[in-house]
Amino acid sequence: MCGLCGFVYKDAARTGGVGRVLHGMLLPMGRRGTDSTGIALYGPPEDGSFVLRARIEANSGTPERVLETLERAGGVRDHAMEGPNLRARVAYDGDLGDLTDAVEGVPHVEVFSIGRSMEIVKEVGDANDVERSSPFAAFEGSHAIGHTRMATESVVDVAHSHPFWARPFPDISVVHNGHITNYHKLRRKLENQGHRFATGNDSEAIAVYIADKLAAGESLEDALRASVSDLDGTFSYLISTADGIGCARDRFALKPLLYTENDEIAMIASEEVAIRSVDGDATLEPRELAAGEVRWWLR
Amino acid sequence: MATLTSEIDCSAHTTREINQAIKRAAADGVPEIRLTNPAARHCLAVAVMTPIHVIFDGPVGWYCGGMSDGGRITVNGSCGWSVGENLMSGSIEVHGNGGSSAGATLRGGRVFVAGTTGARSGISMKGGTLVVGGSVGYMSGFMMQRGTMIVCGDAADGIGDSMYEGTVYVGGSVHSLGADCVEAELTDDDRALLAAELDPHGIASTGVDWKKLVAGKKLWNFSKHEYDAWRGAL
Repeated sequence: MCGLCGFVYKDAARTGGVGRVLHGMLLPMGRRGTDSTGIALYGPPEDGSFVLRARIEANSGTPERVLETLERAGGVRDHAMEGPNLRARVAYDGDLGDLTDAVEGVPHVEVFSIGRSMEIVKEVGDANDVERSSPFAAFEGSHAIGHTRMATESVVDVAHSHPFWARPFPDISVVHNGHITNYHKLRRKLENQGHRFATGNDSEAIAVYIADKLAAGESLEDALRASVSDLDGTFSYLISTADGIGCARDRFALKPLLYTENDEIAMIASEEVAIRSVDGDATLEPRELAAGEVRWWLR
Repeated sequence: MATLTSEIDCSAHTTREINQAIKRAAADGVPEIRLTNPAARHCLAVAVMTPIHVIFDGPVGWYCGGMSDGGRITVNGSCGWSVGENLMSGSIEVHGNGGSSAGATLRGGRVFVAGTTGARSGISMKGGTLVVGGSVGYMSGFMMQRGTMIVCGDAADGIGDSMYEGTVYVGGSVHSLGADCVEAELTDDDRALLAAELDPHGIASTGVDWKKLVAGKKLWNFSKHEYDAWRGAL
């Protein structure tokens, strides 16, 4: 069991307190799991640089080695360390896989995300634990997706926490509730195409699967629809790009997922209690996704 | 919390406090209790065993009214999964959309959802009546054993799969029948039942192309001559 949340401003010019909204949605979703909690936040795209989010299980000197690596790659525009969490803006125009490998070449470093718009924060525990570790509630942006985890497949640690970045594709992340039963086959196929995986978690494969299709020129709608056939098992998932959010539910509708929207915003969640936990339009009427249904909101 | 409370702001109380207050009010003979700000919280008004009219002004979460016996619940909003699960008698009316498994294992009484409900609505019904003003999701009526399900909108794939007994009426389109679910002829008694169930909600039962679905009963006993039916069901 896991909890999913998503929020998007539909107007491309609109930003607001998406961090506050996700914090409010994630707290009640703690009842679906508090092994770990995470959020992928999307802000205005950086011009000419990327935002890197990483966990440094610090030996003394490790943050400096990471920053030196980033300097060599292109230059650190600014950075901040909060506990073991690094946020750095990096001037870079190369392959994000190479940059990720270089950074993770420093021992005890785990890259959560690199993107022009996307920043992933996550922590073992609930939404308040994330807020203490990597404050996100004040984040202003265009959209965000979040996850509360009750682990069934892989270990409970921050590396296996959602959201997963579809490395090395910029700005694509996924949160998932369920179990992909053809995970190994799917992963092997993607690895044969040259993709690499950071964890043994089946949800990461969804992110890479969708990102691969988007990179090949498919629309988000087509990629979502294909996933309902190509993924076996039980799943409700949300995928986010720099442009918006998509979601899908498996053909047996075994995991919950509902959405609600008005002219300005859309909200997606495992349970309505997440939607009602934030101040908002009380007239919004939620509707469950049908078995095998996909939906998307692009700004 | 006062014993005779007839209005509760849910936001100020735990779910256990709310449910205990409902039961105390029912035991004290309070005819009606109104609950504000339920905020889609789970397990509200479960196991209410004494008649009382419980009114929720706002959405409720999963399992609302489950296992209750004899009361009346009105939800002025939507509901989550498994509304009225195992309801023994009494009624639940939801003036919004529902979730999956609405009326699951219903044993008696009546569950009405004005909007749409999700997958497996009416799963394993053992009695009672489930009325859905909109459409129902995948595999609704699965393994139904008794009772009546009325769907005013469409039925998604697999309606009535492996049902033993009971009757499903569908006013809209049937995407596909489940294993061993067959269409039966609609009688005057059926039309009278539909009118009696739907008229109180202002839903027209005439001028609708009702499909009456029942068990084909081929799965009641294994026959090697009907192996294909079993293979399809399993």
